[in-house]
Amino acid sequence: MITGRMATAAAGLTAVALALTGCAAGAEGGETGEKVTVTMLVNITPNLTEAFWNDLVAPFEEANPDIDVKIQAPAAEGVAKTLPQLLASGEVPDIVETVPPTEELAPELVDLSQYDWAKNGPLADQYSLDGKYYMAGIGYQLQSIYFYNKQAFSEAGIEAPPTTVDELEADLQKLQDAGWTPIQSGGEWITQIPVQTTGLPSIIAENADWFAEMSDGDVTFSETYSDAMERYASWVAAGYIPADSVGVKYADAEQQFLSGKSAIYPMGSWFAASEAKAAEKPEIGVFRAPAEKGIDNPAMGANVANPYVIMMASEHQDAAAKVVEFLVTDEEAVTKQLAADGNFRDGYEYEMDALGQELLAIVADTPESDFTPTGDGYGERVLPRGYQTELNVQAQAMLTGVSAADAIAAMDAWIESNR
Amino acid sequence: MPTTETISTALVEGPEELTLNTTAMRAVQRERRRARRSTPTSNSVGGLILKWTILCLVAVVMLTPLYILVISAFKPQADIIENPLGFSPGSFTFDYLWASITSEKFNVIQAYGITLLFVLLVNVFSIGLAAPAAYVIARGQSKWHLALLLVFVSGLFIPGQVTLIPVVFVLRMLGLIGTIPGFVLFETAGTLPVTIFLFVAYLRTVPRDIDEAAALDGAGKIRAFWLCIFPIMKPAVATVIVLHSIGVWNDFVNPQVILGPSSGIYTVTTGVYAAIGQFSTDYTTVFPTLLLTIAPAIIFFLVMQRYIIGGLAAGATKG
Amino acid sequence: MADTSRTMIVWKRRLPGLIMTMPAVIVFTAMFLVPTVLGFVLSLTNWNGFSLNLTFIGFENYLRAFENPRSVDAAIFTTVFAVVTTVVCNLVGLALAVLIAGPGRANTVVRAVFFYPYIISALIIGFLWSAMLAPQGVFNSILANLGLPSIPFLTDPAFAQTSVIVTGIWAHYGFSMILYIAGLKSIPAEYYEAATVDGAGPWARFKNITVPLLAPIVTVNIVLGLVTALRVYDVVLALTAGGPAGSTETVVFQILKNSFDNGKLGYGAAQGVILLIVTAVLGIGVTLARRNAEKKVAD
Repeated sequence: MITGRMATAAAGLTAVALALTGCAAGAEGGETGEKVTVTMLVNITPNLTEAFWNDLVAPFEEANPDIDVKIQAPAAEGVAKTLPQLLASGEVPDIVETVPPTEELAPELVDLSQYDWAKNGPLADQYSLDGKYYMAGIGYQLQSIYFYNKQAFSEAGIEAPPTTVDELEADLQKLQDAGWTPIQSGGEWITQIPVQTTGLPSIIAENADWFAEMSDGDVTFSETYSDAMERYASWVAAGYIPADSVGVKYADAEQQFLSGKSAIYPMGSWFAASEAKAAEKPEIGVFRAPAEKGIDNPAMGANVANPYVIMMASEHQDAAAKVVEFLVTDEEAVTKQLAADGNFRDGYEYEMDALGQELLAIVADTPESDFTPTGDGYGERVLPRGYQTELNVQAQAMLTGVSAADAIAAMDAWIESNR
Repeated sequence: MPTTETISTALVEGPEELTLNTTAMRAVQRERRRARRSTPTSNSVGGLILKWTILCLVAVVMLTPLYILVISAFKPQADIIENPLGFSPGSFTFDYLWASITSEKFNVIQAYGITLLFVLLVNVFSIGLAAPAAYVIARGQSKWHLALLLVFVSGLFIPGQVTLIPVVFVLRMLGLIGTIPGFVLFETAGTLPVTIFLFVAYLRTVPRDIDEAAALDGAGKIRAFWLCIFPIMKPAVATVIVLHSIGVWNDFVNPQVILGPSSGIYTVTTGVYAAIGQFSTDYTTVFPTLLLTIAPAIIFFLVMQRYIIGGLAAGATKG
Repeated sequence: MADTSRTMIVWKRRLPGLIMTMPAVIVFTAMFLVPTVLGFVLSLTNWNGFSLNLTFIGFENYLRAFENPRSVDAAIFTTVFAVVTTVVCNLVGLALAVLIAGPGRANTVVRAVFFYPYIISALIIGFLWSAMLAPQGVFNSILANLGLPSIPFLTDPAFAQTSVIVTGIWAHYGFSMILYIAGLKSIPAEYYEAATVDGAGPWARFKNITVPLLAPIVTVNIVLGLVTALRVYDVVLALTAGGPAGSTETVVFQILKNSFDNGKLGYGAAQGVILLIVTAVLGIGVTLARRNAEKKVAD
């Protein structure tokens, strides 16, 4: 009977063992042929579809038959949340698009300082860490801007876009008097945008080291952001920002502005791509977010468009560098990417409408040193991770009736305990 | 006090009909019931009306979302908003349901298959591992056996989310992260406390004579267990299958984190999450997708209702 | 020699038992016990999920969990959710169980209607109710068609918290009810008969027979209700995604957000350990406290 017993046991153990090893063997089936496969984790959006990415790298693959670029789509939550999961699981892609280098991420990234295309690209200095260049991008995404409905402005008798926050506030009143919803806002993650768009241009212009001093605790949120927060709360109280915005989804907010139901829409420059695609729309213009009176160089919140980083864990770093070089230098590739997502870069023109031209003019007029990160920041200018999410929470709180003072105190407490 | 009377009537009649089955007893029962009905204190017509009014109200609350879900899966967006509770003439269409079935974003048929596979694997492993272990524990008398039971049962109080983050660490070291074996192993481990607990409780009610009878056959202990004891455990096994099938089919966080995005393996829940996201307001996608994901569970429930309810009740009350 | 052979015999006798228990022990240890211990170790580090260079920072993560306003709010909401859903599910569940515990086709149908949400994934329940309660959702459409103002079910903090709690009750009281029905059925009819003979009225019978004999079921319902509710996550994710203004974030929501969105896995692990301790203390505490109530039955 011993044999029977052993057989049963062996069968059980083998089943477990097979289950344990089965997939491990399968996963390592990759052979070391001549053709190198470079995987690239990219953001998939309505503008940047999987087909777009495959199409984008097709000319490169044709010119480099030994390199195959495999586009990898992230989970539903996007690249930023997918990458930590991939890193934790050890299945790291070679190239990652859209995740900016940070101090925590830097040890996982290849230093690209040896490449001119990384060192001299858009916002390269802003994104550098300890003098090392870890990313290369293709252009600018502007964030301290307001889109506006030109008809609304003329109905309200506003002749020129405001140049100070006080003027903006006066214009909001005029728009409301003319029967318009002055500011288009929304729930989800976009509630914080008016707060940052109001605050950052002045805060950064007054203190270029704001990010560093905030994260070191040299200045506090209440010392620097109170004006903007109070203004926001007063705009909510005055009805410039409708209190029920919190229930408006991002996509619906965009739709409402495009269908002419609101006058001003604070949003990143990627909105221009949606505007360009919309069939019926009002005439829309854009102006730079003004700073408080007396500040003549308002800071411009901007992200680099389509930043690429190469992962240290990659086994094909040279091939990956070739891919990135193509993506950020090849004129056709760059303009294709700029056009797809409504991004801009001085000197790279693509077929754009009047709104696009206005945005390009803002980019051309802004000195490189006036650009600033927004939200959680990037490069050496970073705040505790989750800052923007928390700011969004507090903006929603103010929309639902919490006082500015309470919201400011909550931000101070959050930053204090997350520093 | 019509409510109290209703309550007690319902209360007393229930157990009676369950326990007194013989014809003789039934006769006695009928007599007694007649006697009770004739008591002047009862206000049973009013009580019944009240009882069924309450029940119908609750039923409406329970069924309205389901009703809206079903009809909205066959309507265009405008009709969902303008006429939420019915159909406008000519608005009925299968188009949206068909679009969801054939959606590229979420292959629902494949998700059914994958989730069903997980349900089967977890059940097989959970029962296969737990049954013999529970037998040894239930029959053992040393302090080691008790300790082993306590270790397993302590798992009942450990929330899965607590082990989830470190388990990513462990699976990564084993090279099993993002793989089906890795997921099944973790999910199986999570089910072991309940399985072992229920099996031990059940086996302790099984007389030891059966062990001896099995041993007399000349079979080895392990063989004897599978051949003679395991078949007796059918009710406990059924309970466990009900519990784990519902648990695994509905699990969301574990597959979302362990299978991860790069595996391309979507269960029904992670697939719905990816397809709908938390932000979708396109109800012509939301409702058909939800209908497709709810349908198998509802059908399974309707068919297996008695066993599911019985199994769950047995499982929880043994605890 | 004698010694080794005796050891051999002992081992031979133990071998089948070992073979039968080892696979379960190994899987459970590797996938459950080790991660639990590891979770505690990680909670003392600043692990960010990126690198494996961990720095031990003592109990800093725990201090942070008690100081951080967001995690304190989440703990408060989770507690309220757990207590309210458990109490209401038990009251409603018991009341309905008493009404429909009897046999009969109608009772069976009603029972299924009350219970069915329990077998649907909490995530999908959340999506379903989100479609009902959203600003442009079904309920507000109905209100608008009736010319009534909309109700901010999911967009006002207090409403949203209530919506989450009501959804939780909607989905779970059926389970409490099923357990109570099972309990009611197990009470021997003779008890009631004897009481009736002694002249006890319906209320007296309910109080003196039903309530004490159901005591063990009450315990199970409370413990299971609390332990499940303290882990609430899926339904919140789908219904409100923690909003508005973070008002419906729960402890598990915080754990997963800190771990995977904010890259603070050490912090997330610490919150997990706290949740584990609270769950265990509550579970064991309630069980012990209820022992007294159950003892009365035995007497």
